[in-house]
Amino acid sequence: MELKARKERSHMIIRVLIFVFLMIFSYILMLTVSSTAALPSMLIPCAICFAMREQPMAAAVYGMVCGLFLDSAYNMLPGLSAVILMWTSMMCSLLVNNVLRKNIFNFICMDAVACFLHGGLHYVLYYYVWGYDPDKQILFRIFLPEFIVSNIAGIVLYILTGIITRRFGAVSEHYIEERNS
Amino acid sequence: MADFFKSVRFKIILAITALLTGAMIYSVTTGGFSTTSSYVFEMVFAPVKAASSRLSDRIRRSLDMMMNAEKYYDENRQLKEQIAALYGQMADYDKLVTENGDLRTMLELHEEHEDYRFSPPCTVIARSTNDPFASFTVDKGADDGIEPGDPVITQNGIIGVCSEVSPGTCKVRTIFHPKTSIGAYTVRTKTEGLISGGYDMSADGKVKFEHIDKDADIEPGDIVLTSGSENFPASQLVGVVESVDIETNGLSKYAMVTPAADPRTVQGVFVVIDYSIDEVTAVKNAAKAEGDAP
Repeated sequence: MELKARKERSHMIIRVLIFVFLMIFSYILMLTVSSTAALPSMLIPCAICFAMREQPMAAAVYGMVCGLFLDSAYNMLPGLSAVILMWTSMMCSLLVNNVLRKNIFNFICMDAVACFLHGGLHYVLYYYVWGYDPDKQILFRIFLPEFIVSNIAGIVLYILTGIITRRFGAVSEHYIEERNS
Repeated sequence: MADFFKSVRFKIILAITALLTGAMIYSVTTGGFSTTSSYVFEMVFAPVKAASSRLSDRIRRSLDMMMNAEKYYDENRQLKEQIAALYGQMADYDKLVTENGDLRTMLELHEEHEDYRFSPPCTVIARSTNDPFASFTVDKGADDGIEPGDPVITQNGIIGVCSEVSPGTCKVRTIFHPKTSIGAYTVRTKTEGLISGGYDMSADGKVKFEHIDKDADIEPGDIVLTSGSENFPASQLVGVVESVDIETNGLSKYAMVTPAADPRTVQGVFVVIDYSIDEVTAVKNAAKAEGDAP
């Protein structure tokens, strides 16, 4: 049993490290790729993917960290995205652990809700209320494409995190002592 | 699920939410200066931003070299031809003397702005993701004497103003942003107006020169300078008029101006941390006197 616990602990550490690496990679990608087209908000699907693979508390922490990275990338008020993503991640994790199935369709739905919440609040608080976008051009040319590409990028991340969780997830029952006993 | 909402973990999440919300409320109540939470935030993220910027520059340069090798070969050949032609022109000594005189005039112009106090040269370390107004962050901040509202310029012209300052970084709101309004005038006819941005214009890399008198003499090719105020120094180059049209209300004209310095591609800038207001008044009076002259 001790060997199994040790193996699970090492799996958890590797999983956390890979997730943190994915987070930082997404952040660097968002900051450095310059394009005339809208870029995906990679950190949102990142947080939702982690939420679908972890327990609610861990999901909330991942969500908060992703949110802080997102605030930095968008030059937004520090904490705004963190609060949004912390709660959406926690709710996603609770739903997946108790009510919903863990499949790609449910992921797309939850990712879309998270992207909509974040993008909507960003647009309303930073552009709409100040009257910077009377013709809704920023909404249709930046926020809508960003919403779509973020969800598409999310599918890739979902598959990737699935592979990581399968490889470094919970250790199966048939492990060493169980097999011998 | 109900157990989770009663657990200590959920209470911890509530506490973190309250903390973040408190930090946000405190942030919005401070005028431009970063709060303690923002200080910490920028202190943590500034090195990451700088490192990622360096990394992407290196990758971009390598990719550029690989993908455009043929183009550079052609350019190199053309440049060699140009150099040969320039060797011929060097014989024209008189022309060089005239150019020397022009350069002296430029130097005098530079000396006119002796009252400017600049920050150390600033490097762009990050650009805001998907920002239609091309705002960016530079690697100098309050520790270098920069304050919110300080003008940001380059050798070519104005770029914008500092919107938020932390000890080591500063966020720059560009002239494309609708909030950045700058008084300006044309050099040829001293026509006054207001420079402002917007989404339509920023997508095309232009700004709007508006509130121009309907009968004012302004045409494409006119050079636009800042008229100066307590918020912005005078006689800084804004750009060149591209087109002129009448506003939809029919009461005034507006012109589309191509900025002399493009905030979307700029890599290094200077922040004017101090300048004399008397200078602004003097330039304004001189412009007015010249405009009134028959």
